[in-house]
Amino acid sequence: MVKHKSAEKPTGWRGCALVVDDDSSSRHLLARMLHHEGFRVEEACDGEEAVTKFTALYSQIDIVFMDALMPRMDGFEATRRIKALNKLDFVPLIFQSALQDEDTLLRGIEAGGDDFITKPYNHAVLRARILAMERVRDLQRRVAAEHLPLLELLEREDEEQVLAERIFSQAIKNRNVATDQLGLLLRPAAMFSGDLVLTQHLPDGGLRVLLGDFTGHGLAAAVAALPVADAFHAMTRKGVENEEILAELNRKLYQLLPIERFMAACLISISGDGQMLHWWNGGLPSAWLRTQDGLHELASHTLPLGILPELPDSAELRQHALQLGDSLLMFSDGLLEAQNCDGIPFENAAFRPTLKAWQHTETVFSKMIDALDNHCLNTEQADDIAVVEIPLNCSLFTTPQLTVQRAANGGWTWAIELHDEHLGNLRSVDAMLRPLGLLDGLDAHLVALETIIAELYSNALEHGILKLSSSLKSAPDGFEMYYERRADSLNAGCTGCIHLEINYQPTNTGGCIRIRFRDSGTGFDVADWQASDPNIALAAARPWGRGIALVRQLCESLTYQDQGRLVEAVYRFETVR
Amino acid sequence: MSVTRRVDEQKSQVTIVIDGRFDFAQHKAFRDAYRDVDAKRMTFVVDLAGASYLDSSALGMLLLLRDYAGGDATRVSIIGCGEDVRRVLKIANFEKLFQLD
Repeated sequence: MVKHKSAEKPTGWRGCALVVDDDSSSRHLLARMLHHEGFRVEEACDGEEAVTKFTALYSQIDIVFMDALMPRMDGFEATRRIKALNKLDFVPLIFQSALQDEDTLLRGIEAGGDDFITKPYNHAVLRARILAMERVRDLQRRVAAEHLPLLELLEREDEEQVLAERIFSQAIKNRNVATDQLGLLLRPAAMFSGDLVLTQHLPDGGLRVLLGDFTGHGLAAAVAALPVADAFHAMTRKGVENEEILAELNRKLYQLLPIERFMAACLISISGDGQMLHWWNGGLPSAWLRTQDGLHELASHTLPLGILPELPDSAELRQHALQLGDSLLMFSDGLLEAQNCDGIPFENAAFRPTLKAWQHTETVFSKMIDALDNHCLNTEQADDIAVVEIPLNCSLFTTPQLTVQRAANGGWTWAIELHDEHLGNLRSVDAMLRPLGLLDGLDAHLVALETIIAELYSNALEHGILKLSSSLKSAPDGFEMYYERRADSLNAGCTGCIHLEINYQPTNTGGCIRIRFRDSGTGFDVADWQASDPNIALAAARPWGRGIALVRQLCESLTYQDQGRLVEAVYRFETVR
Repeated sequence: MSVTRRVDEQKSQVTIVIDGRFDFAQHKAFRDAYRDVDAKRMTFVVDLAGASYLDSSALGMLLLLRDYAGGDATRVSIIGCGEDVRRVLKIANFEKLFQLD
């Protein structure tokens, strides 16, 4: 063994070298020289042993010297395997071969070798090769070390985008109303969309919709959306005028956004009687209104929001008369500009024909989206796309007569009155009350409330107003007949009125909810009914008559007055502490 | 795709010429075209005759220039708009913020 001459450096200070050669004298010679250079040395006598040792000593080997021709596994194959094992870190692999055998050297480099050295070994050349390889290795390690935090950062950013998207969409979407009645498409180009759709009922039962398109995409484009949504919902619920809400949104965006950012927007308000549309378009493509007498273009007539500190005088709302069967289509410029694989925008392709083919009382939404999808086959989406269609039918509105009163103790009274063509359209309790914030803390009782209200409503409508008899249901096909008649009567245009009032009072131990239905029908004889036992009705195998029995089970009390035209259910609950 | 500028000292006017797509990729070049200009002394002309396309970030850049020029509709004029470019400016109602030819 040769002793290291530089006294201050211990053996192996340079790390570990793996020497692979089937010729033992050649192997020992190289090992000695490497030892002299400061390496600890591991030896292998063929490719297979080399791969085994490299695997076993993974992360300890700092450099490999590989002979080409060996039994069992040659140096080329061993090189491929070692390089495949070791993708993350850089371990230099130096091929060794006889001087005249240039072909072997080339094959060695092709198999993944990083350099070569020729036999017989020359100490100075060996040292130079090692220094050069160490320099490459150090460079590789530095790049890798710098790359790693970058990867982590990217990953973290992705996660945060996902989280932000979730928070954003929950905050925006969950407060929107009537979305099941609208045609609605929001297709972001980046994960975070610059497009925004907000919907909220007005106190008169009407509907207000805002479609906004922030300049740019991604997070930066969407950060201002939350304050816009907050202001929109709160002000609309309170019944703040269109002009005032636009002025407020403009002010907010002007303060929040840097100079070059703004929000193009289209705001529409439909009155609770469904007869008047107020609209405002600042910088969005024309919206389109299909009425009986044709297509009406609602073109941009003013500046987008957030550019000027105050809205200009030109920003007045326009109006248009409406009737049932009309429909309104609005969209962001991403729809018009979406290109097909030949670079032709949708606006110059199927958009116009689809718009032209739009018939009164029909909706155009799904046809438009089909045409768009067809157009954009095999292309990547460049811009956010938002499309909203608002078909004017009576279920769109909460009806005109809607009132809410809130008490200081957290209690409230909410009431709605359904008239004539609205009679068949009571929406779910969740849809009606949640947007108003009235269900906060009452979620555990929602199913019970839905059941009670649905049953009492069916009774008021079907028996009180439509005068359908439950005994119909006992005939063969009776169920079907019953519901056919119900639909026929509603379609024929029944007249009447159902009034629903829900009152909530918190108590010391829980709460009490009173539900009152009054209908304009002729009533019924309640004496028989009140004497009956709800358990019998529930246990009976009859296909009808369970509804009220069920309500009685759920409620503390259920009482009929005024010959059955007025019913009051009292639902009481204790909060478990 | 380029942004070039001409300075006419006699008319106290800086003309910024956009060729090709006017979008966010032009952001730096567009800003460089005016940020060393004395806005109190000079007026600006943006020549869009060679612009094939204009997106919302280009509108934002025009707003930045307008702000730099003093936030006044008379200080920045936009000339040479083709049909497509004019339509984008009109939808955004930018004729209220700039002098359009």
